[in-house]
Amino acid sequence: MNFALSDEQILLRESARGSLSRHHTIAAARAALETPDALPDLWPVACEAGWPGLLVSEEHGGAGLGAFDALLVAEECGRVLASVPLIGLIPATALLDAAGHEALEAVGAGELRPVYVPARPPGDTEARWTVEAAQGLRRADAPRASVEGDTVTLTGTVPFVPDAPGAQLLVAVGVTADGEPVAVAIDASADGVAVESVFRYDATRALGQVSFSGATGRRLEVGAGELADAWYLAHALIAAESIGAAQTCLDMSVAYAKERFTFGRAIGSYQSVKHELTEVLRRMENARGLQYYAGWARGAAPEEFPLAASAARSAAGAALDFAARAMINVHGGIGATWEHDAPLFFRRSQLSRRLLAGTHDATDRVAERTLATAAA
Amino acid sequence: MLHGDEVWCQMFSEPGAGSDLAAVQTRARENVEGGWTLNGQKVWTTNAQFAAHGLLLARTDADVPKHKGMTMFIVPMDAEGVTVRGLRQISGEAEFNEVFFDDAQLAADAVVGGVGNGWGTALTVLMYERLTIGFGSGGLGSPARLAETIRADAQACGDAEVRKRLGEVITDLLAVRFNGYRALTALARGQIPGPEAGLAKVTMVNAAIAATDLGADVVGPDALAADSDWSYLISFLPGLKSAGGTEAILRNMIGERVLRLPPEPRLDKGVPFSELRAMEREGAAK
Repeated sequence: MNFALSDEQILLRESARGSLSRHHTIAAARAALETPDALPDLWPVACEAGWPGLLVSEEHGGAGLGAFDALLVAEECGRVLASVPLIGLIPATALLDAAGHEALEAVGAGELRPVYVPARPPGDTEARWTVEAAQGLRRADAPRASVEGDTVTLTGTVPFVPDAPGAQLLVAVGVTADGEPVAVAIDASADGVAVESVFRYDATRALGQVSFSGATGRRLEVGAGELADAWYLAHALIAAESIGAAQTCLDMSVAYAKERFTFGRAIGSYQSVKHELTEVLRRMENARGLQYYAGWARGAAPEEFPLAASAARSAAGAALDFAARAMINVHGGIGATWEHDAPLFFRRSQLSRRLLAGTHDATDRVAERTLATAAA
Repeated sequence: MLHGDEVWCQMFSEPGAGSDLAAVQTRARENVEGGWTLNGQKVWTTNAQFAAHGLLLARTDADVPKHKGMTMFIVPMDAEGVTVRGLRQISGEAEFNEVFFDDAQLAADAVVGGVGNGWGTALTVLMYERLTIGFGSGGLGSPARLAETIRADAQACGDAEVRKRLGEVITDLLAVRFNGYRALTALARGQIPGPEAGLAKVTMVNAAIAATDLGADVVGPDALAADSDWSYLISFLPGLKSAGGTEAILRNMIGERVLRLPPEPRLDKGVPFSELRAMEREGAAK
């Protein structure tokens, strides 16, 4: 296996960086802290760059690229805290593509904005399909589904759905009376659908609470395997975003450690500061190796993808947490003030690690996959 | 050597030169009639007892600053004046050796990389050593045995703390494995391993320690029985933290050479090696 970026991948990354740089996303993140409505919707940027069609196969009019490429884009978005709705978009397009849904062309062309409404696949300690709890550790049941031919009716609530506000097509998971998961595409404007915008600490992350009360939509012809894949894809994306954000934390911290002097020396020359920053690098590079693993595994070794994506999420969540705190430490008091950019990254780290069942759940999933494949 | 028919060893560290490797005192003096005479002591030499040859870092000029006066040599381990002595460690076994040189004779063509260029050659060898410990010891954490041990214990399988520790340690070991593929891709393209290989070594050794601790916690005191693999690893790993460079020195190096942070202030810069010991003694007396 070749683990260096191809020329095309380097180009993809550079062009993502270029598109995002025109939008002054860090300044926008700051403005949105004061006024959440000030956060620009970067969906048009995604459409212009062709990201809605990134994972969509060529036969369905997409670019037919792999998860590896999508993760490179997510990393660039994370680097500048850009509010591009990739976590909602990419898994949704993967499910629509797997089902060969008729809306794919409109989605790929950027005319229809989908969002993935996540559900956690069962594991060895939690046998149900679940969604986030409104509060607490006990996860909630995924929405109830009743199926009649091609039509699925959903009832239930899914809190804290990344990128839900503004989405036009909800790609959701419901569970039938006999416990089987079904995927359904529901128009966001359909009767019985409510998407309420939610703000939690990180102004750069659009979140929504999605409620279904007898809402009907079209069944997607995918199985439990594809639904699990979408969940892990969302994990890999949040990992890649976190790695990008950690990189910026490191770059800013290193720059400051070179220019700030105490006792006649740059603070970066002191071992305590140097070693803390080296630890940021170590954690970030470990997470990046796992990001590459996840990107590779989804196409080349899909049976390893749950392990790879969970490990990436676990390492990246911890890496960003460490990096954001290190950035505040290295900057001293100024790093903990409102006018500094460090708190923007700290806010990102705090919310990211608690979404989609949380970083700790990904760590547990690594243990579960490891035990499941261990010799008895 | 590449076929593995012949074992070589690496003689760099000395009792007084570890993290500060450029402080080596083993002395090679050029003979008037040609060749070199070797005197001094090396330590932490793996496989010296099996090796046909060894790569040795020695001082050839004490009147220049310490990084400049060293040369790399190839030493036949069966030469007269070369004595290998096993160094017992925590486990009771002798994994490493001390090697003594008493007027050992080297031929003129024993020099590797040119007289006075020993430091550059040593750095390259050390990069490969870190790469090997970091990326080449995926089995060291014994992830398969750890998983089997936990899986065999129903209580452990459902224990949140055990699962958390297992998840973290496997995540680290996977990270090292896939960063290894990244490094190998770079090597295949002809690049020399960079200082970041040291990061893999830090992760690998600590993950191996965490894995061993977890396995032993699940097994209980039996893990410390004399014939237990767990007890062997528990004894072996603390020393490995320093192999190929201590964690502290690796973090200095990576901070300075990868992150380009300013260096530690150094008092030995530009001082001829022959004057350093006097300077150090003076410093200690203050």
